[in-house]
Amino acid sequence: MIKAFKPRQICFFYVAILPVIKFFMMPSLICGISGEDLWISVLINCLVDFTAIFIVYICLKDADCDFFTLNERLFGKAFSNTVAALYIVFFLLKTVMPLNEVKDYVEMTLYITSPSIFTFMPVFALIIFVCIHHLRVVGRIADGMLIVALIGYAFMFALALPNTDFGALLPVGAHGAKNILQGSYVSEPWFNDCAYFLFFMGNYVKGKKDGLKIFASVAVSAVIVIFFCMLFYGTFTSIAFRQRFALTEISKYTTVINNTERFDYIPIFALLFTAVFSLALPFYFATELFVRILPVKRNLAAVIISLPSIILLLFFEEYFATVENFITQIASGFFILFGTVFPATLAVIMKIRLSKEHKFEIQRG
Amino acid sequence: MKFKGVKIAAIIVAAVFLLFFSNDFGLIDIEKTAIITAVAIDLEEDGEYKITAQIAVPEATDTNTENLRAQIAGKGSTVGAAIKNIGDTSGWFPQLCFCNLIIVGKGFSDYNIIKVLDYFSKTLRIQDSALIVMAETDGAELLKLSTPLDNISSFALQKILLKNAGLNRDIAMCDVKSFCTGYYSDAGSAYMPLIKVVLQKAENEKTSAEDTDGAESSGSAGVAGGGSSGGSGSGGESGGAKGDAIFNANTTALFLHGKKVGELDADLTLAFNALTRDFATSTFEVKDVNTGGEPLNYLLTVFSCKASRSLTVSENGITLHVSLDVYAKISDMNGETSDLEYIKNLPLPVYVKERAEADFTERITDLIRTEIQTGCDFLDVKKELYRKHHSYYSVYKDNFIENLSYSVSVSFTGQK
Repeated sequence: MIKAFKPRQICFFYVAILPVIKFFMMPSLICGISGEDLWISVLINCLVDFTAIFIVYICLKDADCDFFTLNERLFGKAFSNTVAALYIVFFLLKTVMPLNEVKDYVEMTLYITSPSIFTFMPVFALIIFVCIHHLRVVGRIADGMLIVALIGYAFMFALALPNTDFGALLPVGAHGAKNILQGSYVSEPWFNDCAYFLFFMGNYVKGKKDGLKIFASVAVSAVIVIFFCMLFYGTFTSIAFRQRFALTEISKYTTVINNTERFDYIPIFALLFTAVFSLALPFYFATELFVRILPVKRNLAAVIISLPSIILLLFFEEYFATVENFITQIASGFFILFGTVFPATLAVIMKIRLSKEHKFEIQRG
Repeated sequence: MKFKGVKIAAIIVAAVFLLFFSNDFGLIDIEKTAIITAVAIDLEEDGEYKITAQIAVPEATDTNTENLRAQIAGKGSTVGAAIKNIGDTSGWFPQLCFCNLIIVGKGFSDYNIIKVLDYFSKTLRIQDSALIVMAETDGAELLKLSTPLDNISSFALQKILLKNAGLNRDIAMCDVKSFCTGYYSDAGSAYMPLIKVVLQKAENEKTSAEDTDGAESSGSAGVAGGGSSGGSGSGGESGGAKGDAIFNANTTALFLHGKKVGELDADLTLAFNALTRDFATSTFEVKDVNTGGEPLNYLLTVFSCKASRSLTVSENGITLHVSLDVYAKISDMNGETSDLEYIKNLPLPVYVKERAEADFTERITDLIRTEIQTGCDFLDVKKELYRKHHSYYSVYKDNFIENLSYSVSVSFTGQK
């Protein structure tokens, strides 16, 4: 069986694609709750994600197929289809916030007047185009976007660093455990990246020290997000909670920008372009699961999966405050369950089942 | 088939860039766009805000003429409404993304200024790195002034506020973000430069006086009429002659919870900058130095300046420790003969060093006294208390000023 990924692509996926989508609205949302302790809230989410990925990797590193295929083999079609259906809901919910914030970001920061609702349609065309391809497209996106994202990170951080007051992050923990955990909870929709890992496990070409490389890339991804949040708070301190579009804001205060105009839009565009592909991924994995459980062609599945988001975004924007409240307050529990707890638990159960099968096969000779 | 897929991908990506990122189809006709370079905000008698916008009018010439300067004004009950009113009354779309200067008129001295400045930190139409200043006159008058420094008065003002390296750090520059950060901090304290207009006594004083339509006798508001497209009689600049007003931004206005509570004069502003900014290349005068004979004046140039502020907090109160370590050289003196130290740039003479240290100690002491008197925490005592002495924060957060004592240590060194 030809594997869809190379370990390198999984590493690039975590470093290049996943951090970017957390640079828009998320930092200000957490700031409103845990203030200068936002980085601790983010750290908690990163640690939880890391732990879930670690457990899934340790349990299923010897598997020869991905999590969902293995699930079907071990627990039957009915159970595996139910799980896949729940993960389709998970991925569709995961698209809601990033999709809207990227749209808002572009419309409000790059446009002078309100653009037509159809301005956003090419993004959906790109998302559907990605969705109709084989799983290998994810690895290719990761390969292609790495350099773009790295240029974006390097420029952005270098420009923001001189104007960052890291002292503003003191004192550590002043907002108390309750607010810090609340900050973690409302930002769950942007995390739970272990869910993507379920497609990678058993589906990549195995090599030496793969686990170490993957863990290192997940850690680097976490460091990028935490560092960005630190820069963000150090730049805006007491007004950070009002800065909804962190990406545009943090790099513009450097003296160089004052003298030469906004060349910081180079890294901003680099990261924005990466974010568009980052947006496409939940759609992609939802489509992938959809074609696994229903006998429909991939092209049709891609359209069916994308349609609710297009309708929500284009025609129900006035209700977005309610949607945002639902996603960050109520659905966050669902995200934790299916992004962290469920995969880790099921991976442990799968490991036990596989071990029993293995022992049984040995006993049978 | 594969090639076809690549072509489709390229077309989609190009469409994303063209439609979504570029805003190429959302541009407004340049002839209907007012590129605003500065705005002045004044408080009207009826309580409404008047926004005067200085506009750079594009012309089909590369000659930098006075025609580039124009002002339009709008009124409204909020700043956003007043800016919108500019567009409604003029037909021009006010393009604020190039606006680098916001001038607040004197009418806001007893007013919570955040009511007008908050708009600029919230809206994405203007960059919140725009500088803010308070005028000693009406803000609009400052924009209408004619100055020899630049054809556009706001550009002249920005030259003073954003001084290049090598010039004195004598202005407590402030942008929208810094002001709002200070206002929304626990201390509620912020500052901005206070702009004073100085009339130059030039050879064309008489002509200038006629053209300026009667400068105020106080010398604080040499308004150069005009405001439209220049030309004779509009700004005292007919025949290429410039106006006679220049700006002084060495004074700093202090704000507590949005209201002006005091000022730092030029000496204190310089000391404040020495404590809070990169002070290298700044110069300052040490006057009446007793050298044993005739008192001399010296000009010192700072090569490096290490400033530190720290707090000691206990049940007995808060002590602010300020230390300043300056490495400076003598640039000039007004003695009849140069002494050896001056020629060889050797260590500072003891009498110069002692006088400089005494001067700066006094200035910093006055600075701390001003903080205590006004309650404006421009030295960030409360911030330091919150960040580094958090266990005492609840004890002193409401009375840190009353419990504040201080120690000041200043040392000047020359070449070692």
